[in-house]
Amino acid sequence: MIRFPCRIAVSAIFLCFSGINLSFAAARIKLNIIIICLDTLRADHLSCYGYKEVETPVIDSFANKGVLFEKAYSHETYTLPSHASLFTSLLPWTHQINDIEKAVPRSQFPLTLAECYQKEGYETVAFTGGGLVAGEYGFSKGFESYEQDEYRVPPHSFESAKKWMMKRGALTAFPGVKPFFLFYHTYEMSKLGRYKAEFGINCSSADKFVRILPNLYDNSLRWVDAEVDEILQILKGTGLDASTIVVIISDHGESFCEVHNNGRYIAFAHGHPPYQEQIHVPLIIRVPPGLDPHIRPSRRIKNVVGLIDVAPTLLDLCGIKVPKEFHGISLAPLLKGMELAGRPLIASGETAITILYKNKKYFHFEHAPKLDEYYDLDSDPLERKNIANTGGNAISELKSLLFENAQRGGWGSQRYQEKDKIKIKSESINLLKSLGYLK
Amino acid sequence: MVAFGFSSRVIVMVVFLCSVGIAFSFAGARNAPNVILISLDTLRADHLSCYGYKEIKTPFIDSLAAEGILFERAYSHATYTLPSHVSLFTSLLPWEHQIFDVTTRVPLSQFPLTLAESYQKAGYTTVGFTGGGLVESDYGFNKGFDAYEVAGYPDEAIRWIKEEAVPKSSSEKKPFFLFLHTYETSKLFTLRSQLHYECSCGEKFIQTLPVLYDISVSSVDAHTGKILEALKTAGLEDSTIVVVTSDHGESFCEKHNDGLVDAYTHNIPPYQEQIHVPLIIRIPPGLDPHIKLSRRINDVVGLIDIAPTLLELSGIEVPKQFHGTSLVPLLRAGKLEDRPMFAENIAYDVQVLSILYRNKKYIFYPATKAEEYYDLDADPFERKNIANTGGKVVLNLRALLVNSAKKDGWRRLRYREKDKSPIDTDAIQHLKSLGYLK
Repeated sequence: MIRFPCRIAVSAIFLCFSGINLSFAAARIKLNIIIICLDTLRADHLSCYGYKEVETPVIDSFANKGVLFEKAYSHETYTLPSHASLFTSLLPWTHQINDIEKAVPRSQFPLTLAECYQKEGYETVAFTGGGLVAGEYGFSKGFESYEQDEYRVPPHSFESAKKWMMKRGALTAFPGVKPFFLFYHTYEMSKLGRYKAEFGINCSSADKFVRILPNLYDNSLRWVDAEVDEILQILKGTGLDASTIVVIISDHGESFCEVHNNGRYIAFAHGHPPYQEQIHVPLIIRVPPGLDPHIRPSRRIKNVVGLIDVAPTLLDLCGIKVPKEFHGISLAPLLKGMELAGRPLIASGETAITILYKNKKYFHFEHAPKLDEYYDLDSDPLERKNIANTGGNAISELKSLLFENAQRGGWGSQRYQEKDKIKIKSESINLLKSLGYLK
Repeated sequence: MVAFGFSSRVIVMVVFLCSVGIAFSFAGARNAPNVILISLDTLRADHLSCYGYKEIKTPFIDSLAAEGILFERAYSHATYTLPSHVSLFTSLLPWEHQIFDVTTRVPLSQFPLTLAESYQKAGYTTVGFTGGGLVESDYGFNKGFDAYEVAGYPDEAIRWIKEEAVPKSSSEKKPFFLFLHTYETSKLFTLRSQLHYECSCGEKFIQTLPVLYDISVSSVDAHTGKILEALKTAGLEDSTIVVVTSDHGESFCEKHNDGLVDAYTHNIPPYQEQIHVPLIIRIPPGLDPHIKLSRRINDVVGLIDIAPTLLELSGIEVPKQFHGTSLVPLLRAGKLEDRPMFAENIAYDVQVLSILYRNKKYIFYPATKAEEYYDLDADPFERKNIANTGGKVVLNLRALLVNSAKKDGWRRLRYREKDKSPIDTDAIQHLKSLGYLK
C-alpha cells in the first residue's frame, strides 16, 4: 500500500531529471524563439524610445533586461512586403512580394526563417491577425501551424498563443520535446485605419481631428503592453524564459498627418513613402540570462539596422548556420558589444525607394524621377525641408549607392510570372477593401 | 368651331374626373400634405448648432429649424434604437409596447398600430429607407409600409424623391409618407465594441470622442441638406412636412451619480445626454394659417407625440391606440398641460425607469430599488445624486412614475413568449459584433 505510490514518485523524479538532462544536453543551441510583432508600432511612441505622453512599463522593463536597437528600420511601409522581408531576410525589391490580390507561387516563395528552424527540428507555430499576413500569401511556409484571426472580433489568436505556451511550458521537462519557434502578430496598434474607414476622414478634415490622432493611437499602447505582459508572465511562470529568446518588433510605423517635402506631402496612417515615422520601428531582443556573458542587459545600440537582419541574428544566436539566401546580417556581434561596419539602410514605400546612410536620406520616386527628395536628418529629423536642389555631391553619391544596391537586389526585374500567381480569396479581399487597403 | 367644342367637352370631363379622384383619395384629408420623417440615429440635440453647440456648425439642419419650429426640450423614451423607434412609430411608451428584445420578433399581427398604417389607410404612399439593423423589417417595422428597405442615406432618398415622389399625372396624385433613417452618427458605438476602448482609457481618449462624433454630425447634416435640396428641386417643398429627430443621444464618458457612472455611447440609463434629442418640424406655410413658423418651443415633449402631431397636421383622425399628445396646439402658439416625460431602458437584462417633470429627474431600478434624483436646475449634468435628501419630491416622483407605468401595463406581458420567433442567426451575430448582445 505504501510502496506503490513511492515507486511512482521515484520514477516521476527520475523522469524529471532525465528530461532536464536531455534538454540541457542540447541547450547550447536549442533555444526557443518568440517573435512578437506589434504591427504598425512606431518606435518613438514607446517610453523606452523616449516617448513622454504614455508609458509602456512592460515593454520598458523588457528593454531593460534585453538589448534595444535605437535605430531599427523596416524596409517597407505596409504589412505584406515588410513581413516578407522579416521572414525571408530579403529586401522588398528582391522578394517582390507586394501584390495584395495575388500570392506568389508557393514553390517559388523564398526560403523563410520558419523553414530554417523547422529543418533544425523545431516546432514552428504562428498566431497572427491574418489579413496581410494571411498564410495564403505564403507566410505559412515552414510553419507546422499557422493561425489567423481574419479580423475576427475579438481576436482569438492571442488566446490561442497563450494556451499554446502554457501547454508547451508544462511539457518542458519531458524528454524529446522539441524546441519551438513561435511568431505572434497583432493588429492592435493598427486601428487608426478603422477610424479612417469608418469616419471617412483624412488630414484635411479638421485641425481638431488631426490633434486627436496620436491620442487614438496611444490608446492601443496599453493593450499591446498588457499583451506583452501576459506573454512574459507565462514564460516566467512556466520557466520557459530561461531557454527562450524573445524579440519585440514592428513591421512599420504610422503617420499622424506629418508634413514632409516642403509641405507637399502629408502622411496619414501607413503605406506612404518611407519617411522616418513610417519605417522607424522598435527592435528589442532579450536572450536568456547566462547564454553569453558578453550580451549584457540594458544595452542600447545606436547602429542602423534593418528587419532583414532579424532572421540571421536569431539563427546565429541559436548556433544555426545562416543560409546564403538571406541577405541580412547577424547582429549578434552588436549584442555582444562588438562593432559592425555602418551600412546603408534601404527601404521602399508607395512609389519611392530610399537610402539612409550616415543620417542623410535620399528618396527616388519611380514615377517622377526628377522629383528627388533629400534630407539631412541631423538638422531636419522630421524630413520637412527637401534640400535635393542644394545637396550637391552628397546626393549623387547616395543616389549611385542606392541604384547600385537596387540593381544588385533585382529592382525592376520580374521574379515571378504573372500567370503563376494565385488569386487571394475574395472574402479576404473584401475585408482589405473595407479597411482601405484596396479600392 | 366643331373641333373646339369637342375639346371643351374633353377638358370639362377631365376636370370632373380629377375632382372626383381628389375627393375620393383625400376624403377627410383636406389638401393632404406629404410627410418626411427623418430619424438621425444617435444624434444628441446639444451637438447641433441650432441647439447652441459651438464646436461645429450644422448649417443645413439649422436652416430647416429657422424655417420651421424647433422643440428645445424633446425627449426619447429609451436609449437604444429598437424600443425608441417602436415608440416613435406606435406612439406608445416602452412599457406599453414592450419591444426591447433584439433577439426575437413579436408576431406581426400583435405588433401595435403604427403611424405608417394610419397613413396607408388614409390613402398615402408609404415608403421607408433605413440603415437596417435594429430598425429592420424583421422586428415588425415594415408594418404599414408599401416599401421598406435598407438603403444608403441620402442617395436612395434623393433618388426616390426625384423619380417617384412627383406624381406622373394629376390622376395618380397620392400624398406620401417617407420615413428615413441612418446610423451615420452611431459609429462610436460600433467602434466601442470592436476596439474595446472604454472610458477607463483616460482623459486623452475621452477627448477624442466628441471630435470623432462631430465629424459624423457634420456629415449627416450635409446629407440631410442634400435631401432637403432634392425636395426643393422636385417642387415639393411647399407641400411637404419635414420632421428631423433622433431616437436617442450619445454619451462621451460623462460622469453621473456621484462619479459611479461613466456614461459611454448609448443603451445605458436615461441621463439627459441620452434622451435629449432634436425635434424640428417644418410645415408648409399655408397648411394651417394658425401655425406660426420660425419659432422655438420650450415645452417638454416626447417622441410619442410625433405620430399624433403628424396625423393631425395631415387631417387624419388620431387613433385612440396612440398614447402621445398632438403638439398642434403648441405649433399654433397655444398651450398644453405640463406633462411628465417617461423613459425606460432594458440593457443587458437590467431595467431602468425614469421620469422628468418640472426639471426634476428621478431614475429608478426596479430590481435593486436603487434610486437617483437630480434637480436639473441646479445640476443639469446629473452629477450629484440627491435621492437621499430629496424628501417628498422623490416620493412624489416615484409614485407618479410607478403609477403611470402600472396604469399603462407595466409588468403585464403583452406577448406570449411562445408566439415570439427568433430573428435569424446572422442577424444575432451582427448584433453581437455591434455590441448590442454579449
